[in-house]
Amino acid sequence: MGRPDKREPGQIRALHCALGQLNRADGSAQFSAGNTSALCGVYGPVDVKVYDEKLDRALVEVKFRPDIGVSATKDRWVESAVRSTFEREVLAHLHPRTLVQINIQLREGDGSVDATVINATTLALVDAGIPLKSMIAAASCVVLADDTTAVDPTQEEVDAARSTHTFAFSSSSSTRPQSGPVYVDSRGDFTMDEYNRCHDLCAMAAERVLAFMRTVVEGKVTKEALISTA
Amino acid sequence: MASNVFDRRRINGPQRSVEPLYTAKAAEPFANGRLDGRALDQVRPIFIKTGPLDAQSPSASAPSGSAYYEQGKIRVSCAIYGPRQGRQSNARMGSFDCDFKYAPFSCSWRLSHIKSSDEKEIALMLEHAIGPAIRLEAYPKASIDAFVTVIESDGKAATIAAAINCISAALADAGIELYDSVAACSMSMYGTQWVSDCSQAEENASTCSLLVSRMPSVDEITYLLQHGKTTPEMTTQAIQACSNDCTRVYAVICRYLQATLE
Amino acid sequence: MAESGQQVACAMQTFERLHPTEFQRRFLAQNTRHDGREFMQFRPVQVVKGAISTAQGSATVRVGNTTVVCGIKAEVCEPDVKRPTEGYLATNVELSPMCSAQFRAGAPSEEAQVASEHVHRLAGQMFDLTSLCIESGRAVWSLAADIVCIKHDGGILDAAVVALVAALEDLRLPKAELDLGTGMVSADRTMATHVGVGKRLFPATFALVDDAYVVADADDSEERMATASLLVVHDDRGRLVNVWKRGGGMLSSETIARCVQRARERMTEIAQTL
Repeated sequence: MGRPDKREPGQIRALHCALGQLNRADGSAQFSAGNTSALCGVYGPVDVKVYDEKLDRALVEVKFRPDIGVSATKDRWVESAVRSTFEREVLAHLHPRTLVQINIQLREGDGSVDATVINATTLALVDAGIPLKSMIAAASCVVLADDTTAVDPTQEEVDAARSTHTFAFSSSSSTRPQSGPVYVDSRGDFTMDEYNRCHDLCAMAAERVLAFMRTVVEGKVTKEALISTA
Repeated sequence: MASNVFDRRRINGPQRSVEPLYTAKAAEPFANGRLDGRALDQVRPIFIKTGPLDAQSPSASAPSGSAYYEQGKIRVSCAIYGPRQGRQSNARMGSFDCDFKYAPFSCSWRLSHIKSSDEKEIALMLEHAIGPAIRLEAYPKASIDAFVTVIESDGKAATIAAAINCISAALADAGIELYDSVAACSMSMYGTQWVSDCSQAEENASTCSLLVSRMPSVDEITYLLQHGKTTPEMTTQAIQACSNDCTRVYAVICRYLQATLE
Repeated sequence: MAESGQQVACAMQTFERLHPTEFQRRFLAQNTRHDGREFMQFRPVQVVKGAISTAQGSATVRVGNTTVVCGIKAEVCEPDVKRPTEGYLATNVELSPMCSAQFRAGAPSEEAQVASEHVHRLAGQMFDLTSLCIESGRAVWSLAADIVCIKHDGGILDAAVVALVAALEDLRLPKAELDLGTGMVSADRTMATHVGVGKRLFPATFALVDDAYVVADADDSEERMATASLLVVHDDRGRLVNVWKRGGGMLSSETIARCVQRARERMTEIAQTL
């Protein structure tokens, strides 16, 4: 049985990214995987409210807005996931008593939303020039009722899935293979074997996402170099 | 509850939900004696435990004193934070603030998550009832905060009285300087008869209720609340009866507090 | 002698208050924890079911010092048009200022919202909403499960999930009938039946403390210095329901596998108390 959009089980959807589309933000990225698309704008380091001020580091704040409907607890959940992933990835001690604000607007959700949001955030932070320890790439996959796995699922596949898995990996983990994922959210009905299988599949997919991110960032750097020499 | 307010900070149920019509009739209170077989002037059995929420190790986020109080089916839990830095940095007296919350499942009807005006009013009542007992001049610039959560209630006036008793015990546990422990008790009138410490079913059937909070060893009333209609003579009679009940409750609290010291 | 012992205890308390991180490190470096537990040792669980008469189902759960009370109120409502046989289950976690000084009065904090959402997602996987059907397309039960935290000392999600499972097992719904003429639902309290949970969930939380030590069931002071947390939820058949890792601290795949193994052992500990 093939996938609805005729992809291979381990094949991710076409990636697309545009940096710096928001001219008022310090950095922004629109990241899409197939139909799923998120726009992320980063402000930082900026002034922080006295009440929230951290004396030794910058405060990382995440705001997530869904594509449709009013924002609710499920969006706070996404915010908390993104913040916990990036809080220690941002070299916050370089900018004490400031705020790094990450604003994410989901443009269209068609499966793998959490992973796309994390990828968009990484690129927006890079675009804003916020110092990072490493780049983070995320991917998700599902285990379907017939025990087959599918990477980067569409919403149709997520709805039919027995379990969904989202993993985020740091770019430094390729140099340190022992280190595990930065973020994991596996839910549904699954076994440890299935978990491990999904982990490996997502690790491979994240590797591809990371390679894509590198080309995007390299493109940005060469473009900026051209402008500055001109 | 007819309609549920959509609250984007919480998980919401359906927009409209109602209680079903219960076919079984509730027993008529006072048809022959009280529902639980108590005497008319008998207070429900009391259970107190101080310090259930206290920290085992020093931690900034744990309360400085706490108490759990049961009176029949009523269950109240209270935590005292402070004395800690107050809002007014030049106050000569400390401040005492109360926060009162019914757990959403604590009443026979379902309550909203959002704090009702009723709860705010009760919090104010608690401040007035307990405040006079605290030596606030001993805590300049500081604030003492009491947080009360009702886990189960059975009779509104009795629940407020239980909250007062619970805060008293928690304040003693926190080592706050007090003139005296405050004890409170409630009564409701059924026909022309005053009945002590009424349950929800009894309170619903009554025409008038009275709450007295008192510092028994200095013989001072700190708070007095009366709902419904009655004559001045009847009220005076009830204040006297309630004061006697307070003394009895006070004895229970004091006996417990003394036992914890030994 | 007694006096000097007291002085030592007092000095220790002062040390803990002033340098909480260093205080914990001294213990962890000695392969132990400040409350005497081993790294992979959980705190004891206590469950009391059905103590609250004003709720249709209730449970009080203690995990170490952490105490939560879960009460379920049942009302009737019309079902969603798209799902005519499904009832509602709304789970909310209340972290009041009473349970810890880190919470403020008023609207739920982000932590409370995330906990509510996560418990709600887990509840969706555990509970069969069609068991709340009274009359298809006309009337269903709507359950409001409120999990009130009385004392917060770490591991709030574990306690909340166990409390929800216990309260759902305790839940007794009266026999309800829809009067087709008036559209009213009448219920008979004397004929109440258990609904039952679809499957029991068994949670276990692990924390990476100070980027070096993996501990099970961290308490409040350990959670404060945790750089990553891992929630593992099993169902009663021993299959995984949720693996949720947050925080930037690195947990290797082997460590995660070890934690999942330990979480399986925790299942029996919790199952005994339910």
